[in-house]
Amino acid sequence: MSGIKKLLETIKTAEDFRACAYALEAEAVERYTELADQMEVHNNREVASLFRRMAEIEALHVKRVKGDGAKPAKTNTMYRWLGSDSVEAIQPTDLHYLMTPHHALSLALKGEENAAAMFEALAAQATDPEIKALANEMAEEEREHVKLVKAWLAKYPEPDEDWHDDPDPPTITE
Amino acid sequence: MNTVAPQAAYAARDYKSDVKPVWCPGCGDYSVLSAFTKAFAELGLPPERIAVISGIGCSSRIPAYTNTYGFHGIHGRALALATGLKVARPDLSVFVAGGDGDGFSIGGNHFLHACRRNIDLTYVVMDNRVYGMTKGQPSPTTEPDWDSALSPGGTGLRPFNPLVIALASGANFIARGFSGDPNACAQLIVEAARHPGFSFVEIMSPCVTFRPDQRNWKEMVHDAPVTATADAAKAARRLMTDDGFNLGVLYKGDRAPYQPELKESASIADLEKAFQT
Repeated sequence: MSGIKKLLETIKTAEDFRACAYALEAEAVERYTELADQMEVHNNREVASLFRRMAEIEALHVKRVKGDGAKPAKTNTMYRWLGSDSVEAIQPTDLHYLMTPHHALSLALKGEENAAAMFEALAAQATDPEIKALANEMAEEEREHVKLVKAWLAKYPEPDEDWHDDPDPPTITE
Repeated sequence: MNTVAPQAAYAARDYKSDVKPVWCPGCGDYSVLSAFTKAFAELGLPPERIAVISGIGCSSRIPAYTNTYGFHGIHGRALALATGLKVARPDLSVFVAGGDGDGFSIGGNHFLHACRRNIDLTYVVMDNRVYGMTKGQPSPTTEPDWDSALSPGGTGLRPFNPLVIALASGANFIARGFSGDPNACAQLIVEAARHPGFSFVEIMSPCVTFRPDQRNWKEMVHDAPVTATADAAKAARRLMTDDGFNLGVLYKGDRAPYQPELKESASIADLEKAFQT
C-alpha cells in the first residue's frame, strides 16, 4: 500500500499509533453517521439503519482504542491519510439515493478490508515492537469486522441491474 | 482572520446545527460542511464569533447547517453582504460559502471587487460546474463540451477560470481542494482564515445527480507539485498552465487587508430621536 511509509513517519511512539487508530475509527463513526443522516432524509430507511448500525460498531472500536483512559492526547481532527480520505471511511460520492443494503454493505466491506490492509502494512513495516504489536492487534480486529460484514452481506444478494431506475428522477426537466 | 484568540477546545460537532442537510446523497457539499466545522474547531473560534454568509444554490444552504451566526442571502450577493458585515464588525470571523453559479455568474462582479478590496474574508466556493438546484443548467465553469438535456452538444463556451481571475483581481490567498478529502479541505480553510486579507478557496465538490461523471474526480486530483508562492507573476504562470486538478495552497500574497476605520455616523441619542419622529 503506497503511502504507508509516509504514514509511518508520523508514528514514532505507541501514543502516536493510538492517535492514528483513534482518528481512523472516529472518522469512520462520523462518516457512517453522516451517511445514515443522508439516507434518512431521503427516506431510504433500510440503508439508513444499516449505516447507523455500522456507526455503532465503529464506536465500539473507538472505545477500545481509548481503553480506560481519555482519548489520546495527540488526537488530530484533521489527519492526513494516505494522500486522501480515510481508508476505512466510505467515499460520500459512492452513495446513491436508491442504493440497497447490498450496495451499502459492499462499500462497508471495502472500507473494513482497506483498514485491515493498512494496519497489516503498518505492522509489517514498523520497527518498534510495541507499535508492531498494536498494529497487529488492530489488523486482527479489522479482519473480524470484515468477517462480520461478509456474513451480513451474504443475507443481501445483489439486486437486479435496474435497481436505480426511478420513474420520477430528480434530473427530469419540466 | 485571526481576530479572535482561541479560547476553549471545541469539537467539530459544536458547530453543527440540528438541521439535517437535504443535499442529494453523495453530494460533495456534505464533506465541505464537515471541513468547515473541523476548520472552526481547529481555529478554536467560539461559534458566536463566526458568521457564515451565503447566496443562493445548493451549497449556499450551509449557514442553516452550522451553529454560528449565518445569513442565507440573495443570489450572487453573498460577498457584498459579507463585506458589509466585516467592515461593520471586524471582530467577527466572516466566512462566505457558495457555488460556482452564485459566485461567478450573477455574483461575478462582486467576486472581482471582493478580491480587489482585499477585505479579511474567507470565500469558499463549492464548484461542481453545474446549476444543481435548478436542474442542471451549465454554469460559468462548465466544460464547453458537456452534453446534457439542457445544453445539447455542450455550450461551446470557454469556462471561467476562477483561480486566475482571483489572482488578477487581487485576492491575497488562493487554494484548491477536493471534497473527497475533507481533512485536507479543513486544513485549507484554516490556512485561508489565518491568512490576512481576502482568501479564496475553490473546492471541487461533485454533483452526483447532474454530473455523475464527476465521481471520477477522486482519480484525477493530485497534490500540487509545488509549494505556494508569494510571487504573483509566478503564480499566474502556474495557474494559467494548471490542469485544473492541482490541490493545495497555490498563492499566498502579502498585501495588507483593507479595513476602513469605523466612525460613528450618529449618536445613540440621534438614532433614538429618529425612531420617535
